[in-house]
Amino acid sequence: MEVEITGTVKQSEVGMGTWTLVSDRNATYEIMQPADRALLQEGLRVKVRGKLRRDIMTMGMVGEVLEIIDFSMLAEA
Amino acid sequence: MKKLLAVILFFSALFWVLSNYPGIGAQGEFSSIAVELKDSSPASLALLEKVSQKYDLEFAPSSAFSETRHLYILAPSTACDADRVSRRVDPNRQTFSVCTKLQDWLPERWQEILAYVRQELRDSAQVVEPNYQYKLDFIGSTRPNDPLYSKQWNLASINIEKAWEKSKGKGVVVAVIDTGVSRVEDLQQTEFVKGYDFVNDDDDPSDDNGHGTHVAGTIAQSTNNNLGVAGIAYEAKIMPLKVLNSFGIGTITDIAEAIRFAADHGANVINMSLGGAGESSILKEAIDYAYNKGVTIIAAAGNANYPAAFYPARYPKVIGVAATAPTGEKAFYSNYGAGVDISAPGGDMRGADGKKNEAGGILQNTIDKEGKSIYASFQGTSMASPHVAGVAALIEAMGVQKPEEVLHILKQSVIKVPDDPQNYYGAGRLDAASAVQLAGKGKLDFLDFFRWLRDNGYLSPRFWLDGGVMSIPLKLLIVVVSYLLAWLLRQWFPFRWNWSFTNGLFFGGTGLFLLRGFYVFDLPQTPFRLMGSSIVELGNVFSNTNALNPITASALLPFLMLIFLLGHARWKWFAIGSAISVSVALTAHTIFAPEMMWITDLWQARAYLGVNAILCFGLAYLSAKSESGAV
Repeated sequence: MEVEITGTVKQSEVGMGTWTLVSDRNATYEIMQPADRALLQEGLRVKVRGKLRRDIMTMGMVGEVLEIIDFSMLAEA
Repeated sequence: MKKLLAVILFFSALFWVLSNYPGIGAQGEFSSIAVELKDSSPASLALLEKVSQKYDLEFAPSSAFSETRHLYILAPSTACDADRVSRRVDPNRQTFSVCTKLQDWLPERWQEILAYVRQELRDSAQVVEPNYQYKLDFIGSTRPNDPLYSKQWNLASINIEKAWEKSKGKGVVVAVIDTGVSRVEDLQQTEFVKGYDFVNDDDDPSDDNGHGTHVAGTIAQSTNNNLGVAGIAYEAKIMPLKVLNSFGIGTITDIAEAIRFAADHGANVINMSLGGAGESSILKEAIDYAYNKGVTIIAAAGNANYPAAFYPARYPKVIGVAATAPTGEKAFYSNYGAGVDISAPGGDMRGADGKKNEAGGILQNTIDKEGKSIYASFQGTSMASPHVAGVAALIEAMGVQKPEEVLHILKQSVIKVPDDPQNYYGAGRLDAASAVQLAGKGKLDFLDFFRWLRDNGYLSPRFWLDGGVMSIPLKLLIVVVSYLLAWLLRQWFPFRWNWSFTNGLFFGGTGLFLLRGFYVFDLPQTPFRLMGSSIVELGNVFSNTNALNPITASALLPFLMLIFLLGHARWKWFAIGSAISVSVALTAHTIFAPEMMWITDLWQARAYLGVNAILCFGLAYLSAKSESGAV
């Protein structure tokens, strides 16, 4: 399922550590790895196009898994 | 008639066992030899040195006080210094391996050494005997010697030490479906069974992430190995199944296959510290398959602070585990609500100043990014789930194997959280000690009995040494045989086994209980003899002789006790217990030590003691029979 989400990139310290995207509606997505390193910066505001992957599971378990197709950085909110 | 026959058979068997009793340490292990020389003359010592060197042993006085008694201990030399090396070891050989070998001598080798020392010292030594190591591990403290154990607040919080008294998960196979498991240093002594790598489709399920190794550590880290940390079911076996790649991500199809693999290859418990939001019929079918094969399946609830467990934890046939912080409260990240069956420590590493607080996490041995062995603290429901899997292994090792029964025990034994409207904790907080207690309920547990012995001071060496007339092995035998006899009686007419009864069993045969701490006071001798004496020996308390007094070494006292105590709800069991053990003690004396006051003829003494033993048993039998209906 393809989605477009605007939100903030955050690192979760649970388990081994996981990169997440917290949407402006306050839903947390687990960014599927490997992902572009340019995206993985704490506090980065982004608009992401991606795919929700329900066919996989993770050790992070912090939210739905989002496979990034592309993204664009936004100015600080 | 049949019962009479059984009693006769019992006593014949007892007689046989006692006459063939080889002595207390016969099966024991030893790694040093005690030698008592006739004198400590230079010639004797020179001979002792010569004998020692043959097997590279060293000798030393047993203690600072033993030189006057010429008592020496021969033990493998521990120092591997250059001087010794040049003296004793072939220069071409690795000296250190020789030293190591000395520590690892097998029992057979020690028997050989013992025979040699005995032969060589036959003229100059009074005594040459194995210096037995008395291992009380199985009933002694269960606190492990792992140096980092004190940092494992999570294990203390599930009452693990008390659980270890009964179960360490021996023989149970726990499948760890995760990023793989690497055999880091503190998993070296943990047993593994064959696993599989579903990510790379090969036979090597090594970890390339660190998550799975950490999870396996919580379940079965090598424990009591003087290294690192402890694990919950450290005698269980790990089946490593790799389904998550190095990023900790895996497909549902691989996970489903791994579940089936585990069920088909003898796993008893499955731990899945993984999850996702999506449901899948492939996964559900695999879970049903494993469950129907009797596998207990446990999974992490998820770390999204979301009001429902993720899948697979959410499936009814999977035990979903929520995480608690060191305070016992719900961890900030833990999912809750639907699908949460129980909660266990997952940790909370948020420090006060925004920094990471390592002490709040779950500490295990795992690998770092380069694959090197490290001790690391993590937090998450991933860490909580293996706590429950470990305790499930402890339960299964007690003989409970159906997954529904394991879940029932886990839920029944929790520390309940009274006010939990959001289902943060499921049934409550995991409690390993109550779980194994519940799993073992209704079983005749000899370990319980030995624990009771320890708690009441019976296992203190001073008790046995100062206890009275009878020798240590004899007393030990009387204890065991009394217990067996009582157990046999209970097979005929079930009565309630209570502590008054057990106390009675002891009072009669070996001496009074509650001696612990009694010796710290410097009191006159007689009260000690009184306290330390059995009923049979009571007559000797004031006479300072080892010859038994026929008045107390008879059925008389048990008879009087029964008459006076049968009306009392608790004390009557004490009297019955006493009667049983007096009969055993009298039987033992009949066989071994029938030295008596006034009755000097050996066979007359034997007849007297034997008849009284039978009378005593008859009394116990009749009383237990008449009382068994009353409870």
